Amino acid sequence: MAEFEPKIMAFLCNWCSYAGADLAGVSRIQYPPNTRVIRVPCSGRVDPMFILKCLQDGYDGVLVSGCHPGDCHYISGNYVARRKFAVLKVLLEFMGLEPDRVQFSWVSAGEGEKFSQVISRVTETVRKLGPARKLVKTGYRE
Amino acid sequence: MDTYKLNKTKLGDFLEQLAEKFAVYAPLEKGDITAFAELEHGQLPALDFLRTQKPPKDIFYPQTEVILRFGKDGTKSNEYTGKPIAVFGARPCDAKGFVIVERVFVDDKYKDNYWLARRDGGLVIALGCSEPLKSCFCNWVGGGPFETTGSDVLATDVGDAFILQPLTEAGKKALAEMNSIEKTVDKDIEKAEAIHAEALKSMPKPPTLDSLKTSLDSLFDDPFWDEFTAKCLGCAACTFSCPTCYCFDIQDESRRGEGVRIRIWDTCQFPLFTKEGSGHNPRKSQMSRLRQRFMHKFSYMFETQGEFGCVGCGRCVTACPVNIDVREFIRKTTENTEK
Amino acid sequence: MNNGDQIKEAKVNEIVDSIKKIFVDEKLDVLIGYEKGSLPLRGTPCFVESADDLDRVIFDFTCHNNIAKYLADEKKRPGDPRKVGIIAKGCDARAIAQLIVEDQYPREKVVIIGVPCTGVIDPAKLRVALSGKDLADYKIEGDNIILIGDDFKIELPRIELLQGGCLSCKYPNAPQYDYFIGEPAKPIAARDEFAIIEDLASKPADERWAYFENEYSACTRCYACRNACPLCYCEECFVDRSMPAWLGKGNELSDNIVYHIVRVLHLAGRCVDCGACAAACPLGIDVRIIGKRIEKEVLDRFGYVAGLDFETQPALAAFREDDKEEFIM
Repeated sequence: MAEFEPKIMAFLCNWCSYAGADLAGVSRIQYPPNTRVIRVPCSGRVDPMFILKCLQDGYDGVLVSGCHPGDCHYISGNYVARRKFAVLKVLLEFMGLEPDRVQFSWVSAGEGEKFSQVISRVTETVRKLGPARKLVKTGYRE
Repeated sequence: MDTYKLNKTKLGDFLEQLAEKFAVYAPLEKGDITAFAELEHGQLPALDFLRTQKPPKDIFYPQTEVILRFGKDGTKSNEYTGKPIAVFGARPCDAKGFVIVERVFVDDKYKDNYWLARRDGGLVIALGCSEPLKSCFCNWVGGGPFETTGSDVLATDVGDAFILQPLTEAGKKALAEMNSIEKTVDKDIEKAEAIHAEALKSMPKPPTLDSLKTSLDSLFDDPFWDEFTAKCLGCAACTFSCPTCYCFDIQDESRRGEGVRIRIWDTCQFPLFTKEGSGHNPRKSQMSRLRQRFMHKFSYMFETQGEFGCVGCGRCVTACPVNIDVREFIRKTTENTEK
Repeated sequence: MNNGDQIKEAKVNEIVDSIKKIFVDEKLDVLIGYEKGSLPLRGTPCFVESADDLDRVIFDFTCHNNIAKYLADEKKRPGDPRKVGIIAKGCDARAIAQLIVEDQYPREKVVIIGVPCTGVIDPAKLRVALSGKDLADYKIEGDNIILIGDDFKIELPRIELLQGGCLSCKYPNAPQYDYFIGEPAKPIAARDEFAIIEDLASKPADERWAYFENEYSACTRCYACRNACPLCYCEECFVDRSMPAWLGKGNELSDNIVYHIVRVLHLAGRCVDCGACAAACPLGIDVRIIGKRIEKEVLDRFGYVAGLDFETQPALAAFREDDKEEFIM
C-alpha cells in the first residue's frame, strides 16, 4: 500500500526564500520532493485567495515564505503580509481547517539548510494529516 | 371528477405510497427557514409556514445544474434520470410559477431536455392558502389563494383533513390509485368552498391593472424611477426568491483536462448581466437594472406571454433587504397614469 | 439587566424638527435617513432632497439598515460630491468614519447626525417569533414587546427581537458626529460580544467545520450580504473576475465557503459589525460569525477597532515592527 504523498504548494519570495531554495539545491541538500514552487516578488504579493485556491484545487498543504522582518527587498511588504497571514491562519483554524495545512516561514537567501528543514517539516506534518478534503472542489461529482 | 378526503393522520401513508412511483418533494424546515426538499422515508412535511423562502422552481430548475460532463473520454450530457417528481404542498402561486417558467423552456421550436427530464411525468399537488398573508397579492395578478393553474391536484386544509380535487388526467390517475383517501361527501366540498371564498375575501382589493402595461411603457423615462430605485442594493435576493424568474448563465469549470458545464441562475440585477465584451454596459446604473425587472415582469412578459410575469407570491417583498415593495411600485405606476 | 428606564428613544417630532434645521443650516443636497416601511415593524432607507419633504423621516428600533452604504454609493455618482447628511446609529457612524479614512468621501461633505440606538429589530427574528403569521399591531411595555395579530398576542422581551450584534454592541452612539439628537443611549450589554465565538471555538474542529458547511450549503450567492455592507464598495468584486476566475459561480459548497471567507478577509480591520450582512441574507444564514472572529483577532493582536475616528490607519494597511509572529514557523 503506497504511502500517501502530499502535494504542497510553496509561494517563495524572489529575493530571499526563492534564493534560499536555490542555495539548497546548489548545495545538494536532500529534501522531500512534494513541493511545487511559485515564485513571487514579495511575500506581500501573496493574496489569501491564492492560498484558498490551492486548497480548493486539492493541494494538501500550502507554504508561504518570505524575507525576515526588516530585510524585505520592498522595505515593508513582509510586515503587511505578516498581519494578513495572521488573520487568515486564525480564521481558517477557527473554521475547523487543520492549522498545519497553511504555514508561513521566513527564509533568507543564505538559509539553504533552513529551507530544506522547513520543507521537510511541512511535508511530514501534512503527510500525517492525510489528503486534504475540507475545501476541495469536487467538480460537482455525485 | 371525483374529489377525495385525506385525513391528516393518514398523510404519512399517503406520501409513502406516492414515494413508490415518485420522488416526493415537500416543504421541510431547515433551521429558521422552510425549503422544498426530497422527503426521506417517513418524513412529514412542514406545512405551517405559508411560503418557503426559496421558490419550488428549483425542484425542476435547480440553481446549479450540471448539464455536461467532459473529460478525456469525451462529453456526456447530464439530464436527471431519477423517478418522476411529485411536489406536495406547493402553493397556487408556486404552481402557476411552474407554468410561466415552462413557457421559456418548452415551446414549439425548442424543448429544454434538462427541464423536461425533471418535469415530465411529474405531479403537482398544490395546497391552497386558507389564510393568505398580508404580503400576498396573487389576486392582483390574475391568481388567487385557491387558483388551479399549474396543479394536478388542489388540496384544501379543512382542519382535520385535506380535500383533494384532481384537476388533470395525471391528478385523477394518481388519486385513483391512493389507498389512504376516501371519497368526499357534499358536506366536505361545501366546507372547502367556504374556505376558498373566505380566503379570497380576506385579501386586499386589487388595484385595476388593465392598463398597467401601457402605463409602464409610457413611464419608461419618468423621473419617478430614480427615487423608487435609489435604495436598491443590486443584490439577487428578489430574483432568486422569485417563482417566475428564469434567466440563467452557463459556465464551464475544468481542471486538469476534465470538468463540467453548469447552468446556474443568473440575475438581471448584477451589472455583469449585461456587460459586453467591449466593456460597455447598456444597463450601467442600478436604476436601469431594477427598472428592467419591473418592466420585464409587468410589460414585456405581458406582451410575450399574455399575462404578467408575476404570481403575486410576495417573496420579493419579504426578501428585499431594503424593503423595496413591488406592491408600492404597482400602486405608484397606476396612480401616476391616473393623474 | 434592566434598561427600561434608560431607553430614551428620540421622539419622532424631535428628530424631524432638528433635521429640518440642519438641512437648511448645512445647505444639504440630500439627507439620507429612514422612513416607515411597507411591512410591520420595518423602517426603510429614504433620500430626501428638499427640506419640505423631511416630515417622512423617522428613527426608531425598526431602522435596521446600515445607510452608510449609500454614502459609498454617492461617490459613484458623476460630478462633484454632494453635501450629504446622514442619520447615524453608532455602527452607521463608524462605517462612515471608516469610509472617510479610506478616502471614499470628503469629510467636509458629510454631515453626521448621530441618534441614540437601543438596538434594532432583526426582521428574521420577528418572522420566526410570529411563526410566519401577520402582525397587526404592537405595544411596548417596559422591557417587553407585545406582538398583536388578528388571532394572537405574543409577549416577549424586546431584546429577543433585536439583531444579535445589538445585544453586545459597545458603540450605540456615533463616536464622531457633527450633530447628536437626543440623549446618548447606554449599551444593552446583554452579553459579551465574543461569547458566541468563544463558545464555537471550544468545540472540536470537525464539529466547527460541519457547522460552517451546514450554514453555507444553503447560500444562494445572491450577494445581499456583500451589497448591504457599506465597506464593500469595490468597482469590481473578486467574484466577478474571470481570467483568473477566483471563484466558480455555481453553488458548489467549496465555492460558497470560500466566497464567505474572502469576503470577511477583505473586511478585516474594516468591519464595524453593524450586522447589515446577516440582516440582508434572505435565508437567515449567520454570515457575521466568521467576521466577528477576525474582529477579535484584530483587536487582540493589533489593538484596533474600526471606525472610531478619522485619522487612525486601518489595521491591515499598517504594521508594527514588533507585531507578534508566533504563528510563523
